[in-house]
Amino acid sequence: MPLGFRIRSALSAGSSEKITAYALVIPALIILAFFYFIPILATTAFSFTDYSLVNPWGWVGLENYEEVFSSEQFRVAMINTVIFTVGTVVPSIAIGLITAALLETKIRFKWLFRLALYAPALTSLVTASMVWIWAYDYQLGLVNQALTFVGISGPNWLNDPKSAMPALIIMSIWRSFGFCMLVYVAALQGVSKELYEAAELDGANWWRKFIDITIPSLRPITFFLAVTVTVSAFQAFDAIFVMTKGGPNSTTTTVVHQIYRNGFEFGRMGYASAMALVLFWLLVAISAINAIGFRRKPRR
Amino acid sequence: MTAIAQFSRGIWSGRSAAYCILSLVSLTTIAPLFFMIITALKSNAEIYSQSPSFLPLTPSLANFSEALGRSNFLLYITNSFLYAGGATICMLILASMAGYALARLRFPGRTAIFVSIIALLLVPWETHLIPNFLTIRFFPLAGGNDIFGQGGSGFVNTFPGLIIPGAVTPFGIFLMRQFFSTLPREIEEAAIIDGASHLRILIEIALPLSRPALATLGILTFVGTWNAFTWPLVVTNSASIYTIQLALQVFRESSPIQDWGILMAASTISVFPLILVFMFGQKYFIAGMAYSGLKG
Repeated sequence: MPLGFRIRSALSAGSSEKITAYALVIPALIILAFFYFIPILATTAFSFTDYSLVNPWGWVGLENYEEVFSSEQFRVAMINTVIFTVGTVVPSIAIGLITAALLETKIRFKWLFRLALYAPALTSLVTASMVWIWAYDYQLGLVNQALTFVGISGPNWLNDPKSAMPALIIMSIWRSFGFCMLVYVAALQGVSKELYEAAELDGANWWRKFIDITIPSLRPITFFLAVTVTVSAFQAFDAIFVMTKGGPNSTTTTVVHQIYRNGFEFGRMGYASAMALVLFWLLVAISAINAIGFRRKPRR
Repeated sequence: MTAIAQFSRGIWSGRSAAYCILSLVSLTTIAPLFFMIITALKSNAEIYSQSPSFLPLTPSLANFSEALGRSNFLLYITNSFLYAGGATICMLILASMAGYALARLRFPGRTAIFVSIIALLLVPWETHLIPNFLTIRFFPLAGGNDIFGQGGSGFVNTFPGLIIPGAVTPFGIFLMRQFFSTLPREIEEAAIIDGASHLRILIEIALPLSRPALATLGILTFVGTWNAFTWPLVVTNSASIYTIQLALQVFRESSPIQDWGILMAASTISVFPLILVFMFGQKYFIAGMAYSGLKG
């Protein structure tokens, strides 16, 4: 091949590389622009208006935000969201970690246990809600039948203001610890076997190894899970919409449930947008803590 | 070593405690699902009897045929397959195209685009829920709309309306880009010297090597779309396009008496495809989990 030809083809390859690159990227960028990027700006703009689907609309300045921060309903929703989140995150991580560590011991039927433990995470939130509404049935449900069996008379779970939130949290733990478990199982493959062997030579039992080796080695993963599960629990909506509609007496309404109600049931899209933005910045803050925490993790 | 420590060590090395705890937790996770299936197999008379037995006395599949036939769940399952399948195909195509360009080709703006995609990973879905509904509702020239998006119903109650907003996600692009970056460059360089175009390298070399990543992304997208509830709830209101998730909720709310037999049969059917996907794709599932954050 003559040298001149080779140089020319290399040059044209450079510009064809750019053209190919843009042709490959642009379809995805159009979707991201119209359904991710512009919508964030639009939500920001809406939050300063009284936009609804039907009426003419106008700017209202910070009125929506003032209403968000003074609204009793929003305050209740925020408190419920925090209770739901904390109630979900801590047990999910704890159960996920323990089951993952146990799955690493030399036991048989690992795949069966793994399938059984992960099965709830495979159900959709709607299916899970259906199953649990039925299981929480006052007279015929599985939960109260089991409680009766051991001599306890269970509450009218979803219809009692005192037990509705605990009922939702139990269901949420049931469905989310499987994810934690799978992540821990994957992470445990990377923990050095030599540490365990050394500890065994020192006569450490399973519990000591769990406390002294497993938990410290997995700290970055635990941190990652704490943030991921927190962020998703903070956005709880499906199960609440299906199981309680925020009731009884607003004891289970959450922030996203309020966004949906105001935006799509009351048509107050401006006000709902302001709530969405408040939630957005809250989640950004949680993720920022995540980023800082990750940076600080000691290199193993 | 104290006697107690020695004793507990004996138990642990015997693994019986591991079996005990795992069985107990597994029992709790499986019990509600088991309850769902046995309810589906019972007749109404048995479900609502004064002294219900735990296992069905005369198990029958009547509720399943009732759910699929008269209650139209066959249609809703078909809709869910079309929605989840369509979304998965769009995602695999668009995400691998963009992911490949971001990983392997050099062009102005590449870093800026990649950084923006990472930033978009953090944005929660409810932030764009309302504008996305409006975009679909007032989509120009769709569903009887004029060029300004007025007059008709846009893509509301259509498959494009369901699929387009999620046709590609920042996560999908990110996952494919990360995977393409791990492929050895030598193979491509050899192909370039042979005069192959970048498009041909993507189709004939990179994609066949990326089967694990495509499987992971495909499974995550399919399961996520199959289980989606909020977006279908917002963008459809006609029974002919309901997905299985929406139909379950509507069925429960609209039936005058709670028909738990049929509802549990429909719920069982709704989980079944996912159990299959998980059993056959377990390793990709776990790989996806790892990718979704740990390698970030």
